[in-house]
Amino acid sequence: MKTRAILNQLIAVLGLGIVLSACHQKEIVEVSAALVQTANPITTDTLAGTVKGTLLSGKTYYFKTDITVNDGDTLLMQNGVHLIALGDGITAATSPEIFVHGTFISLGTQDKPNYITVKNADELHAQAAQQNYTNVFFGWWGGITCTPATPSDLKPNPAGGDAIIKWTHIEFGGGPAGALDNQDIYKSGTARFNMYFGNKTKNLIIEDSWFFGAKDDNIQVGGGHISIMRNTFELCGGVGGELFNMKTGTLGDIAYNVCIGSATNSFKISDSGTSGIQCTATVYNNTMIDGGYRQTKSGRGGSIDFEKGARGRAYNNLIVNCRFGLRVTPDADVPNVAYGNHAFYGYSQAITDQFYTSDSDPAVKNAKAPSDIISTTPKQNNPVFYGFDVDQYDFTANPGPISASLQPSKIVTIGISNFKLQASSPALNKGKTDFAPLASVTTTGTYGTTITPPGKDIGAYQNDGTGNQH
Amino acid sequence: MKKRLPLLILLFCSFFSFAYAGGIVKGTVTDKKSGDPMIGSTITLTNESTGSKIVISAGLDGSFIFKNVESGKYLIEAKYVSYNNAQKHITVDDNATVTVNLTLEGKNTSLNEVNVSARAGRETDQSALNAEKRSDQVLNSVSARTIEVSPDITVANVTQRVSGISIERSNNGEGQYAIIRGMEKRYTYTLINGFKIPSPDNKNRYVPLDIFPADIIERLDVYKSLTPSMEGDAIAGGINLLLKDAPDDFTLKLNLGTGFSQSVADNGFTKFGNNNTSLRSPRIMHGDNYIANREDFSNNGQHFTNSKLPLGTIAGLSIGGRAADKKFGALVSLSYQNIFKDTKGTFFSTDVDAVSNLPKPTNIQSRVYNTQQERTSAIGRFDYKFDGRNKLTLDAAYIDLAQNQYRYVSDTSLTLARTGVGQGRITESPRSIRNVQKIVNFSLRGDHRLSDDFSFNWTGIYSKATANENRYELNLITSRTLQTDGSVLQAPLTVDASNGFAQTFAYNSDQDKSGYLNFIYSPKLFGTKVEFSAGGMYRNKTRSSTFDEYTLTLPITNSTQVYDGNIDNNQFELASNRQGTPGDALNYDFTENVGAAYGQFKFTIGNLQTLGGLRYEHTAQSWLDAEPVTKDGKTGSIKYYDLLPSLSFKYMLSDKENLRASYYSAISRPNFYEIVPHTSGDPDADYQEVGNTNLKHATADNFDLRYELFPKPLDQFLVGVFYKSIANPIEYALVSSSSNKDLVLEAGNFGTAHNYGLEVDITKYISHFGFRANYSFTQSEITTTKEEAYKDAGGNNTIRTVNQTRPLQGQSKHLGNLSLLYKDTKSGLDAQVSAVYTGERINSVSQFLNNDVWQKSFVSLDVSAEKKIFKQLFIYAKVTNLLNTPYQLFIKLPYPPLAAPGAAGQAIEFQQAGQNTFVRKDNYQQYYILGLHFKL
Repeated sequence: MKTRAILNQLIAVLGLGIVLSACHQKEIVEVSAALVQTANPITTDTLAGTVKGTLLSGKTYYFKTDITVNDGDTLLMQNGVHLIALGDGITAATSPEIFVHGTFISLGTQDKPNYITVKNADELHAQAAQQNYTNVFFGWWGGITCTPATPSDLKPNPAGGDAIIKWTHIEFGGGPAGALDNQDIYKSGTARFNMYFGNKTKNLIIEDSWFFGAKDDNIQVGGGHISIMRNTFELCGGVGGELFNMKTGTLGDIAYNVCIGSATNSFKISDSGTSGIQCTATVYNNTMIDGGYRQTKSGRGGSIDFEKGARGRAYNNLIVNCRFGLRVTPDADVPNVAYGNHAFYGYSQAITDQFYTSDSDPAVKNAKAPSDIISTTPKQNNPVFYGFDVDQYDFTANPGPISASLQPSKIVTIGISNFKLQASSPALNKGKTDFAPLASVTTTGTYGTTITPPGKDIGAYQNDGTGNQH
Repeated sequence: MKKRLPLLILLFCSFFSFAYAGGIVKGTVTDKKSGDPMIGSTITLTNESTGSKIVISAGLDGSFIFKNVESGKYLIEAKYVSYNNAQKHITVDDNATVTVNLTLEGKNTSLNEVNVSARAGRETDQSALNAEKRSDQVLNSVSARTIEVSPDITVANVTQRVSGISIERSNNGEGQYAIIRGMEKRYTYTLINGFKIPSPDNKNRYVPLDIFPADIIERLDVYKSLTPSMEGDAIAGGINLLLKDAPDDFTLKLNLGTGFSQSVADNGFTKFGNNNTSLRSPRIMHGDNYIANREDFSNNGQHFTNSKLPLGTIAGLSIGGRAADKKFGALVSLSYQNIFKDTKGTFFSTDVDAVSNLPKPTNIQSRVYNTQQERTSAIGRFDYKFDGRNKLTLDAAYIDLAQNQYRYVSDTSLTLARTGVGQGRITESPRSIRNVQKIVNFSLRGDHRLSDDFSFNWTGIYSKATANENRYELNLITSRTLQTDGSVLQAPLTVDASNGFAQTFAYNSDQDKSGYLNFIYSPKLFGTKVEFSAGGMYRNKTRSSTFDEYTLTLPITNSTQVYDGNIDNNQFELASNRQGTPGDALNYDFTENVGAAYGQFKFTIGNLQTLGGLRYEHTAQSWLDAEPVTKDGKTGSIKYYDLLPSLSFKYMLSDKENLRASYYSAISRPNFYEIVPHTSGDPDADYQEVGNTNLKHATADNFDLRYELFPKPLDQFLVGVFYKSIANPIEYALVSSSSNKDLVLEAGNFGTAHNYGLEVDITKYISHFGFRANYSFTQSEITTTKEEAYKDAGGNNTIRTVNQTRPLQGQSKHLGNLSLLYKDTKSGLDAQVSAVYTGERINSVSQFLNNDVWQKSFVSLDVSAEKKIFKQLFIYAKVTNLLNTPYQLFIKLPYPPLAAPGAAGQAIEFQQAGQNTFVRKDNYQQYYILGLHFKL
């Protein structure tokens, strides 16, 4: 019995010892960090790898592979610079992209605009004029992508930089995305945009510039302070896509832009995403022509769209023959969307019926702004443009959706058209001027924005010569 | 269907027999050695003067009774295969009862009794019960015989009959994973004959249990505690499939059955082209730089034909025996199952309102699934006993599950173009998937006894699991719009120009090479026999996964194409991703080397058995993924070790009662896919998934206390409590992506979770009737951060972070099982009614406060019966899901008050203001099986 007692004690001690001996080593983790190469100075006319510095006035530069601007670095284009993407649009690797984790500045001027385009741009423009869009919407390069750098120990919270684009042509982006892209923005194999900006504490200034021929969305903003002034957006989106698509975290003004031939909307404002900063836009004095016909899905817009949780104001916009007019869906922040002083023109009954879209929130549909120039019958309130026949295309016979190849060039591109208003236009002097832009971008000067305040004439061109300068 | 149930019970009860006046002879037949009841032994009562005979068979408790026996002298004799007959002479008087207890002794087979475990008869219920009773740890067992007469045809469905286990079903209603004690499937491992097997799943370690047909296993053990000799990554427990062993006598079993599902009978079954071919992607076939073209993709996966009522097949053949000298034994089992099922369901995808944080349905989907599952397996076991001291066993297994699934989803947007009830944008997607999963497993084991107190064994294993999936999805769009005459028109049906026709190619392989070595030394110390064991194992696991998605889109020149039901009439081009998706995260190679060593002791003093020891496990992982070097984590390695002690006491209160107390420490390693730092993932998931290189392994302290009572050889009463404290539990959480564009799903560690509960298990047999019931109560708690949408003082819609405590995902507070059995060996009738109750549980965790999706509690009822029709030939029938129990999901927040179409609270079927928000309801309907067993 004595041995048993000893054994019992032994068990007790052993037992306690065992229970207390559990030990779990903390993981020893070694993970390869993102490789960041120090920027190369620009010495030749072919850019490659990591770059920073200045592209000199009047020169032409090429890039065949992706180029990257590191966090803290700046790539500046003086005026009259051509930056040519050499891409075939077949694979991600052969459709080069400009990755910007720092600051990107393109300072074109009215006399010497800049071009960020492809080598055969003239050929593509000529094809577009001949109603042949297959190559226009092909997606030849990867666009400009402005996002924060990968966080590192040295810089755990990179914020990215500003993008300042003035008097610049940006065209023909849309090559397929690949492994180098942030899959959250561009899933492998999907079309990239002419431009993506996602630095929510930084500024995106796009002024007096021209955008043409994106395969999908033209510009998408995933957060940032924006000022989008006096630009021309033409013929973007093969079978879908917006001219300017803004998501959560984006705050700013969109004014005096001329938009023609969008696949879907000209401006889509949606709070989708997770930034916690509600997407807010003031959209005023824009002219939108013939938008929304190539989008094959129903339940999409054709001009201005306030969707999921978005708020803001829309005034003084001229909406002509767009498949859908002002759209404020029930899931938008409807009480905080203000609108009015719009001029609508519709060739067909179908267009006229959608000046305020039928799927807008009833609170919007039933409260059309009395300040609008609007009718329930087609072909009323012709805005009387200087050089554009609003009745040249039979929208009754072609209500959409429609293949791009069936759309005449003259209704989806500007060409020789002139969207200034004649003196007989009903849209003159009907604008609302007693409100202030959001002015989210506060910097002024060469690297700042020049906000044109709300104008008295509806649309992008003011009879006093202000507004859009194209 | 509900009305038929009482009838069934009545039928069940009508088997009761009634007593008459006259002499009675009763008693039991038991095994002389083990005391186990000899179920089904024949008892012959012969009148010694007239020679007339009455033959009956022993019941489930080994008992028999002859009623209304004429007075006189009788010879009573009991017989059982491979046992010596036992007989007694008795005298019967009128109105008197004679009690005779007979014991049978097994025929001697000299090699059978050697110390290298002879395992004849493992398939029986007694064997399962003995496993529970004699086991060194907390264990529940199910025997092959129980499985055979149960309604279950896959291992997954068998596990739900065990206390504390619920199952997670796939979208065809078939059970797929076991949830032990309310813990996520990651906390459980699956073993074959005690050894781990790799998983064909491209994201996870755990093995889907529906790949295994039930008839290949001899016994299913569910471990709820671990000993040091077992691998330590089973916090919830382990499931061990013991495959059939070579029998001593020549055995032949044949099973042939057919079946059909009620819903297939009602709705027909859609088959598709390419349902017999597994394809790799053009990129894998031709290299990363290959530019694919339209011709690389066939339309076959979108060619559909309807089959009225395809009949299922269930077939099994098992043949085995031992050479005349008993040294060489072999058993080969072949199994084939082919099953067709339909599922219909309604699903709401939900978001939350940006101000009220209440759930807001965004889409309503109607889904139809037609699923064919074809299981083929071949299993061989060969052993050679050199002498009483040395034995070699070779196991070879090939297991294959090929699944063909057609799915049709019609999704109506509740926000887009929603101008009134019944209107809106609709996307329709016919989709077909061909998925083939295979496991091959070879193991060679040696058992050697060097002296009476020293033995060792070794095992070498090569095992590989693969899965190949081909998916063909066509995306169509249409809308229901209000016409001028007030009607709603749904037209036209066109091809989605940008998403067109998507084809995905996924392949995964997981290969294990492992070796095990164990030494057992059992000296006598202080007059007590102490068993010391020590050993180790090493496993090299290599896993590789490839994934490609190609989307055929419509050309710019023809972007508005109507779909007329025949895809050949549509024109597609391969415009954007001609290269496939080489950068996708599901392209990775992962290596894991685990080395372990342990020391363990076991001894019994008086009535107390003590088993304890310590296990050391070292884990070294490394990966190489498809990310470019300009991103974090192209390569990486993770190393750690764990010391895992374990101690268990078994106090034998009497020879029928045990009291167990155990402690063990365990870990759970993250899945490879959760670590690899990818930023995209499963195209079928609701959210993008991202990897987390900082993910830690979970560790747990586990305590069990259980009382066991075995009043009769087949009866048992178990009651136990458990407590688990899990540090760094791994849960999925939705976090903001780097771009803020969307929420992404990421695995993370969340503090410490606590899980405790109570389990009760009762089995009771009375003559021909059996009753099995178990109940478990589980409570768990984990605190994670959630988001709450609200409008701040500045009128800005924003989100704040709050902590919320909730149960672990998949954990039901209450689980119950009830089976009623009837068994009459003489007439050869076996019947069983089984019900499972699964209490409500979290199906998926929402990132938003209080928005978790719950599965409604449910009862499912299955029945089965088997009847001997001729000597060794039996006919059987099984009906599963008799009550057509639906799968239902909901959110515990009220649907908002009625509002305008398109807004939160709009009027829509299935939703009622103020009631819980409806999320999903699927119906699987009944499945019927009829078949024949032949046993020799």
